[in-house]
Amino acid sequence: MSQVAHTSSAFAQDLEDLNMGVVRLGMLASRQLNACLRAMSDFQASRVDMLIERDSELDELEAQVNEMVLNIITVRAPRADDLRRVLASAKTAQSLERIGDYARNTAKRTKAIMASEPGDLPWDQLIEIGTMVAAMIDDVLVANQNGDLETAQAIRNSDVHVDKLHTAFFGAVIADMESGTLSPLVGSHLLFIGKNLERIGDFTTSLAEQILFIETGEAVEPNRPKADRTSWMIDEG
Amino acid sequence: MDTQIMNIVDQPQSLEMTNVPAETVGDVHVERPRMTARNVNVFYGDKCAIDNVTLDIAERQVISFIGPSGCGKSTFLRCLNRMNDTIDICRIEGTIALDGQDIYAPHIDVVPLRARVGMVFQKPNPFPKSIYDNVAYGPRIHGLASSRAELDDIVEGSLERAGLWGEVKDRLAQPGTGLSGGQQQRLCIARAIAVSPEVILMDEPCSALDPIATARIEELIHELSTEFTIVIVTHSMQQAARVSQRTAYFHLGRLVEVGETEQIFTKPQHEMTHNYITGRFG
Repeated sequence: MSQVAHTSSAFAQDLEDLNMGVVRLGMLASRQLNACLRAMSDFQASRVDMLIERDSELDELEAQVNEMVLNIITVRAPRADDLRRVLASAKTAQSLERIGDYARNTAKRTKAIMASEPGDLPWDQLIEIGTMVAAMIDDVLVANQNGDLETAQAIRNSDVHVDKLHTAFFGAVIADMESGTLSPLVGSHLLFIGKNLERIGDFTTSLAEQILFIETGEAVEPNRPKADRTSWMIDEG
Repeated sequence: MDTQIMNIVDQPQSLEMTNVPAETVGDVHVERPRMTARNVNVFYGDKCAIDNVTLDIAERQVISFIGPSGCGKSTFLRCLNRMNDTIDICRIEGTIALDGQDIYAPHIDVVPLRARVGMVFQKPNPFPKSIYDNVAYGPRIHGLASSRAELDDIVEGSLERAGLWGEVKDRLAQPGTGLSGGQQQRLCIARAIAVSPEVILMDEPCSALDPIATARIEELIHELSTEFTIVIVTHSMQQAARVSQRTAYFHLGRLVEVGETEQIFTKPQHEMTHNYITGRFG
């Protein structure tokens, strides 16, 4: 609402430190997901190990953000959009940490699949989904810095495309498992990887919703476009 | 010249040079007003301290006046029971009514008016009398009790409602000035409610108290709001958020914004209100 600086420069610094904590967390989560996608693309297990190791950094950063949130609320008693930004930071940090968890799990499963040398697999479809959600994360982090409502709304609406890709991927993997071209183990890993990426998309829409909450002060209308049909799939055989 | 007037007179800016809105943001009217102020202007000499303020004060509700020092919130509060009459250079224009009756009408006697619109000040100011006599003073001069027993009932009831009876019932003859700061302030509140006012004005009633005494007064304000209309001036935004249902933000003598307290502290509509409540006031 206002570009006027806080009377208390210490309060302003606290908010800036909190913002930087969220930015660092966002960059790390984005890097983790992109490293995961490169591992899929390049078949490099070493990348996967590095990615798994770095997950603890996300946990530490989330804890730091939560500590800053607690401190600001206790000491500064923020109000209006300051309060919303502080509360949203905690929720944003939690979503980013979860994104990191899904990236790590995806990396582990990718490594397990690589070890079984399964031959041709639908990596391209997974990379397509992953690239889409990675772009959404990058966009939402920029929108968060700029308070960009339009982009936040667009990101929230774009998750439906991730859902559609995931539903198609899920169906294709099931078909391959039924035909015997995919083993149940590898097929299951692939289904989980697909679901992980779809969940990362969900958490990214949650990040976009936090931007809308900060800027408007309104709770976001709960029904966003969704197209993940995997939960309703039945055996029509 | 007291500090408050000095603050007004020393204002470096003129209203015309600022962005302070001439029109109040938010709904100044309420369904069941106990008091109404219409186009109120207050001048100290030729300095305008309150500029065209219109506001309804709702029955059995707590409204907080907030704003920076010198914004006019205490001046406006003091207009509501004509406390400014004691300042020679103070001149008031517009209309202020209690239950539809103009309190500045020529025939209005300020003594009964101040019984109907009581006041609690920043610093506890018990009379140099016993605890009993502090509370009994108002009912005596207004002839509210016809017997000693009736007066005893009023004193006990008032101290009870002020949350002080249990602490002082065995020492009613002792001086009120011997109580702690928080107890003295509750004694002043008991004194104010002993004459059954319709409205209680509180001018920073907790600013001289410790956090425990403050919490007790805030709890008391909450309890009294079921019976009385309460107007409180406070510098503590946390206190305004805790005790009031409605909040009015003043700046340079103008009522910038008024609204439900929750809305004012979460989604203020005017940028000046936002800047003030978020600590961006220079």
